[in-house]
Amino acid sequence: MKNEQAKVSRIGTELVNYFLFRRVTHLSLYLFLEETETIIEIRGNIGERSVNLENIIEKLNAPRLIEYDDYYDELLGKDIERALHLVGYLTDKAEVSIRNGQLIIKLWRHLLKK
Amino acid sequence: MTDKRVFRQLSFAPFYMFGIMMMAYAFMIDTPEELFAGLYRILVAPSNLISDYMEIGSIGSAFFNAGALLVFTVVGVQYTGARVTGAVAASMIMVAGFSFFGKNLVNTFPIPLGVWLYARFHGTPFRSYIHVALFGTGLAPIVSEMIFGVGLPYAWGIPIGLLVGVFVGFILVPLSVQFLNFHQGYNLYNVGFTIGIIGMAFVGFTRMFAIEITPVRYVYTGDDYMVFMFLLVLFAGMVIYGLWTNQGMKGYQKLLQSSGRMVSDFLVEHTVPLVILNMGLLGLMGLLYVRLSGGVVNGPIVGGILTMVAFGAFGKHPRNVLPILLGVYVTSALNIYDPAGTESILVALFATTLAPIAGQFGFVAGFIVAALHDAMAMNIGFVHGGLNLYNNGLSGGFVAALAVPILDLITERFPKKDEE
Repeated sequence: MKNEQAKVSRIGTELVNYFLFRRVTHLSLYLFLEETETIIEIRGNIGERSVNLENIIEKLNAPRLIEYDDYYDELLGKDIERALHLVGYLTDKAEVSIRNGQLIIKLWRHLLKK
Repeated sequence: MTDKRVFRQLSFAPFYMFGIMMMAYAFMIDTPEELFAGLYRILVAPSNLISDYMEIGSIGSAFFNAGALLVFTVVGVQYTGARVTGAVAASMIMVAGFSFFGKNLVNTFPIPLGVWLYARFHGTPFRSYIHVALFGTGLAPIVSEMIFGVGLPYAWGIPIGLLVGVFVGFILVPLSVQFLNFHQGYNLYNVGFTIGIIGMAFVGFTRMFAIEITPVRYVYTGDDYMVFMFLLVLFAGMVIYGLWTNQGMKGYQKLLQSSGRMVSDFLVEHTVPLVILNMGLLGLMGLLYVRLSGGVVNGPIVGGILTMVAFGAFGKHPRNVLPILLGVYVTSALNIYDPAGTESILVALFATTLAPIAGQFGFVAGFIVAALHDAMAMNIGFVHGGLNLYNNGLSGGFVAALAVPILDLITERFPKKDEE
């Protein structure tokens, strides 16, 4: 099992890139590394901008594929087009919402036993 | 919030069926005596490029080798507890495809054994790397070459061949993970690129000590009716099955919209019938290309077509493959290579490793990188002495690394409107 911190860092980078490449200029990233799971939350001010929420949810709701955990995670942080899809493969649960002009993405990643 | 989609995986049954079909077909083509004599010749062949098992053994023995190796592979994969993701499906079919020209029951096992040892060493379940282990068998000729090719006595050749294979498997995962960055997921044969680099280093060493890997060219040019019909019925059957169970083409348009860039796991993102339909259509496209070019459906070409079919579960579809095929065909028609020759057709079929570039940057970009790939692939075999069966994977990695930054530059200058 590769270093969990490195993977979380890549997922975080991917999410940050997702917002930055959509010209969101104010954003916050929260990481919670618990014993059994990691929670990653990102919030970005989108203001009045329209967002295709369904598209984001569809990508993040891709099933978790533990087969790709230790291999294709290397591509995270580079692929702007498919960013969220890959993130979906590496996480167990996703919540997406818009509140007070902020797009909020919250992800849960259960830690795998060796 | 909605729940995560469930991964409804494909069962192993179709892969067993395919393997058994090929073995049964072998007995319809050859007598048992011809078949086993041919199989022996296959097993002791050095197997570097181009070793067409239909020429070295016989058509029947090549089919038997492919079927048997596929069945063994599927048993092994199932034993590890791996699920049939797009990558695993592609890697299993690739083993079958390359068993027509380079992989056999002797040389294929040391590399997965090395990957297994790496997984143990790394503390990761082997099933996570099973697709890398199977793709890695593209360097299987390194084992045969050491045992049968360089003139070592068996007492030395067998242990050295096995050890080299295991060592290659052991270093394969960390290297191939790193090489993903080199082409950014635009070369679908990433492991092919990696083993090309390993093969290049290995052959450099052997040449340094005056151990020469002799280039070979065994290519079947006889009657291909039985091979053509087998593939035609197989692919037509897949298309009909896909259309029937999917109740038409619904959802296919969405699959065609995918760029195909890694990781595009169609078995996860789409339904099984749709993926089978896609694979069947790609197979028919490959067959049609060979026929229109005037080529013979021999062992390497069966491998090329089956590779297109394999990646129908992991990134390829007619929309991103067509510009590549056309690009290589037009280039072959203009250059010194014969478009009907096995080498030119092989480059076309395998150049579809660059399909994600056509999918992402469009038809013209795909057409141009295909031309570049034709130039590159025809020249690069020397560096690995033909030991890397995925010669086009090596070439494709370099072409993608060369082309993508330029294409990125152009698209940055003329950006598309944000989707979300």
